[in-house]
Amino acid sequence: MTDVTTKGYFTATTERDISTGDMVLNIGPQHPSTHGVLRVVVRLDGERVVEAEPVLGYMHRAFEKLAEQRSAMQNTALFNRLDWISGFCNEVPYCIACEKLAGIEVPKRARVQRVILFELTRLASHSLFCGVFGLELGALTAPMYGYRDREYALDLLEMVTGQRMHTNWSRIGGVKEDFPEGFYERVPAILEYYRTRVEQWLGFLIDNDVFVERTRGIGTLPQDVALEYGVSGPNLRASGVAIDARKEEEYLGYAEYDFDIPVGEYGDCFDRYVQRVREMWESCNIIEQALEDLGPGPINTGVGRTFKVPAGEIYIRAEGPRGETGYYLISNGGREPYRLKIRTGSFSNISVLPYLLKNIYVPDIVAILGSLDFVVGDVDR
Amino acid sequence: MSLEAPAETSPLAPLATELRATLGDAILEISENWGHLIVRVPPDKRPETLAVLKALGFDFYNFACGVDWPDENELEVFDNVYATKTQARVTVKCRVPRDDPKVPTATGVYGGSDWHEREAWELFGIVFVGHPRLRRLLLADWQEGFPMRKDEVLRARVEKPWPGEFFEA
Repeated sequence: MTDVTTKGYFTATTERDISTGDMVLNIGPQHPSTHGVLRVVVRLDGERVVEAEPVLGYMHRAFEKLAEQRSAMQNTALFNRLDWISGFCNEVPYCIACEKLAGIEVPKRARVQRVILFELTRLASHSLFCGVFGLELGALTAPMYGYRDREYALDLLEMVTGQRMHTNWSRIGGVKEDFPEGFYERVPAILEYYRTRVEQWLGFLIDNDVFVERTRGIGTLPQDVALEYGVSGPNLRASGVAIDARKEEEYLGYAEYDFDIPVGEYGDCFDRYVQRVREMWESCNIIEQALEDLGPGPINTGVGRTFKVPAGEIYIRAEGPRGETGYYLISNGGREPYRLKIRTGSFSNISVLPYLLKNIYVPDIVAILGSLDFVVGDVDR
Repeated sequence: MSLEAPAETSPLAPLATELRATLGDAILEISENWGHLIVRVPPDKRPETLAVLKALGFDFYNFACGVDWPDENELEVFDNVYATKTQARVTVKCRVPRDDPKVPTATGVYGGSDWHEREAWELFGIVFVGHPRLRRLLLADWQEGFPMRKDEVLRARVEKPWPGEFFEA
C-alpha cells in the first residue's frame, strides 16, 4: 500500500509491514513549534525517532530571482522579508557588497548607526528566542516576557526607521535618515533594562529543573558535523567553535569595539539557549561603545536611485542573530544584480536536522527545533 | 570581469601554490578576488578538489549555488568553503554545457552540500550525478522548468516594466 502522507520523502519503500512497528508522523506545516511553515516527517519506532526529514518550500518566494529583476537600490526592501525577526541584519551585508564593488566609502556616522541598529535587532531577536524557547518546553510564562522584552528594542527601531520589523533603513552608500531627537536619551535606560533581563533569563529557566532536564544532553551537535553542514552563529558557537564574522571580517568597524565571543561547551539545547542569553550581554556592550563613538558628520553619500553596480563579484557576510548572512553578488555592470546568491543562517542550520533528529524521543523534536532558532522565511527565501 | 592571479606577496599565494602542486592539471585557473581564492576546475574534478581543500583545513562548507551564462551556453556551479583556523575562503567553480549539465555530487565529501545541490538542481536543472536523493526541496511538485535560468522570465515584470524608467531620462 502506498502511503500518501509521506509522498515518497523516505528513500525506503513505502510498503509497510505491521510487524515492524514503524509509524510515520507528520509534524507541520502548521505547528506551533515550526515558527512558520516547516514540515517535518518523522518515522517512529514506538516513541523513538528513527528517521526524520524536513520538508521545505512552503514559504519559497523566489527572492534570488526577484533580486535579478529589481534595481540594486530596491532590493533592500526585499531582504527585510528574508528573516523578519531581524530584518535590519539582512539589508546591511547586501548594502556593503554593493558599496565595496562600487568603491563607495560609507561615512563613519552612518557606519556606527548601522552597528547600533544591528545590535538592537539582535537584542530583539534573541529576546524573542528566549521567550519562545520556553514556550516549546511548556513554560507558558516565558513568551510573555520574551515578547515584552523585544518591544523595547523594536520601539527604538520604530523611532528611528518608522517600522518595527521591516525597517528598510540601510541604503547603498549610507543610511536613510539621521537618528531622531530623544533617541540618545532613551537608549541607556533600555540597555540597562536588557542587562537586568539577561540575569533574569539566566535564572528564570536555568534554575528550573524541568527546563534543565528537557534540554541538557538533548540534541548535541558535535563540532565537525556542525562545520560540515555550515551551521553558523550561536548554534555553532554553542558547540564550542569560536567563529564570529564580527571578529573575522572587517565590516562596520566592529574591530574598534571591545566585546567577547562567548562559546558553549557541549552544544546541546541548553548550551544554545545560554549562548544567546550571553550574546545579548555582549550586544549591550557594543551598543554602549558605539553610542560613544557616534560623532557628527554626514550619514549618506547620496547614491541616486539609478545606481548601477559595477561589474565584478564579491562575497560579503555578516554575523546575524541566526548565523552567517552572506550575499554572493555577481554584477555585469547593470542596474540589477546579474546573480545574487543569498546564503542564510537558518537554511544551513536546519540542514543538520536529519542528523540531530535521530534516536531521540518525540517531545525532544520540539526542543531541538526550538533551540536552533530558525525562521522559515530565512530558510526558504 | 577579469580576475587576477594572486600576487606573490598575497597571503593566499602559498595556498594557491599548494593547490597547484596537489591537483596539477586539474586546475584551469586560480585567481584572487576580494581576499578570497577562486579555483576553476573541470566538472569531473569537483569532488576531488573539494576533498583536497577539506584535507587542507577547509572545514566549513558554506554553500553551493548555480549561475546561468546563456551567452556562453553554460551553467556554472559554485562551492564556497571556509577554513576556520586560517580564515581563508575558497570558491570552487566549474562550468557545464547548458544542454547537458552534469556534475558529480560532493555529498560524499561535505555532507552539507546535500540541500544546496538539491536547490541548484531544481532551480537551474544542474544534475548532480551520484546524489543520494535528488528531489524537490523548495519548489512544489507541479512547477515546471528551471526558474532561475535566465530564459525563464518573471511574468509580472514583462507585462509591466519597472516604473522607474519613467524618471530616468
